[in-house]
Amino acid sequence: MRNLHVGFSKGQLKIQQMAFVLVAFIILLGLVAVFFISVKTSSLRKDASSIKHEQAQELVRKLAGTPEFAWTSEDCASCVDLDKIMALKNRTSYRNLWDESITLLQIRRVYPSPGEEIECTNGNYPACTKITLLDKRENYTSEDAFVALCHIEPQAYAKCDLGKIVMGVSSP
Amino acid sequence: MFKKGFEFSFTWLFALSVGAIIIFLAIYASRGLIKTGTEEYNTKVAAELGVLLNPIGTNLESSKHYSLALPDETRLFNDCSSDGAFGLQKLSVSVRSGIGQEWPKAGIPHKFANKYVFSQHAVQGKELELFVKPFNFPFKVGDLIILYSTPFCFVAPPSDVEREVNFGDGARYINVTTSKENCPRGSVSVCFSGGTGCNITVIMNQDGRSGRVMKQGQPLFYYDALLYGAIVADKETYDCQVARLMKRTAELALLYAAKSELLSSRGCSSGLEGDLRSYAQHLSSNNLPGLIIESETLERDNEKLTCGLF
Repeated sequence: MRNLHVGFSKGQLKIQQMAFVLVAFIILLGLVAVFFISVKTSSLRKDASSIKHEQAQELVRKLAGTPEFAWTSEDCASCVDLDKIMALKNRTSYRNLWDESITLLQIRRVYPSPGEEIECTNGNYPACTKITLLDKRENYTSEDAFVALCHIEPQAYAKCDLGKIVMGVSSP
Repeated sequence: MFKKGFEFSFTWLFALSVGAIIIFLAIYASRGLIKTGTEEYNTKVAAELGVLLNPIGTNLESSKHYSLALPDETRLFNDCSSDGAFGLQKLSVSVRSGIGQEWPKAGIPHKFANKYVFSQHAVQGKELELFVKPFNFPFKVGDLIILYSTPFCFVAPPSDVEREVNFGDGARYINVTTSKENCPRGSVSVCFSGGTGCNITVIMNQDGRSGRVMKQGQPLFYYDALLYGAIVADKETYDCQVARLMKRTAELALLYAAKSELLSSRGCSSGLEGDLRSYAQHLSSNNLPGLIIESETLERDNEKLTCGLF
């Protein structure tokens, strides 16, 4: 039986060489693309996060003036109506009104404070320190704004305490 | 005799075809990158615009004027949806580009549930004018953001409209004149007090707070600050924003009813719970003229209360 010898010509070797160069070139391009995309994504994430925080800062400052929070009995720009907020606590439809990135929305009494934090319920209101309107139980960074928390006392007079609105924005 | 010729070997053919593919891929990728970059920029501008719209709300003020200067000629698209509990306001932006398409596709819209922008569907300009007015029906429902870039000419408006337009530095691009002939060329003329021959005609009711705005033969019913929205916005946007405002009014009416119950338990009853709940129900009809009487009755009843609800 005769042995068959497979011979390689110079042309075939060149094509093989070029194919290897092409593969290396494409891998290099791929690496550059991955690097570029990761840099771009991280800068985009940074931009999105900074816009989110700017928005939260602006929103928390203006929240006292929104119809759901505003104290309308007197002309007071930084007074919020605690009775209205207490009523708002039980209304689930309002969850859609706030921005999606807001994970926490709380109103806290700062002064006078009974010491320990007590969540307001229909049973203990107004002898409590905080009303949680929204808590998605996610990681957040918070922004806050000091306001006057006003409510009507049983003798039909208005009483205001020092408090703050705390807003949590989802952190990446 | 032999002619000297160019040998077009397989290596050449291979190199040329691979080179062509690489150049094609490079052009395709760079086009894609430019397109993505433009879309990203447009999305970022819309988001930044959204941030800017937050501090412009009113607190105790009756109106505010703002001018918004943009870095380049921009098209702002105002889309409105009345679905859901509060509906949605969507704003997207397309900034004029010097490369490729003059007006690239708008970026991803920025969405708000608590903003009401009244404008044409597309507003174009390097400077946009904003006129912010609170809307009370009878309690404060929200701030109306009137957005425009084209000049308007108000012909013989009532004194309160003239005062509001000229308040502070005055609303830019809104001229007030006594006759249509004095209107600047190219401006949209708005006739009040029974004037005719204008692009838009305002027919006010005797109460001075409500009426209808006639645009291209179609009536847009308004109440209070909605007058400016009806003048500036197109019908589709106006109707959608009014529907959203009515939804928010209904939610607020239920909120005030709940507040009233809370106050009743502390001996400060208002007795308005039933009226507020039925008002909330009627608001779903979106019949603005029919709701005005109910709103004004609630306003009067609230004024009589010792512990006012709103």
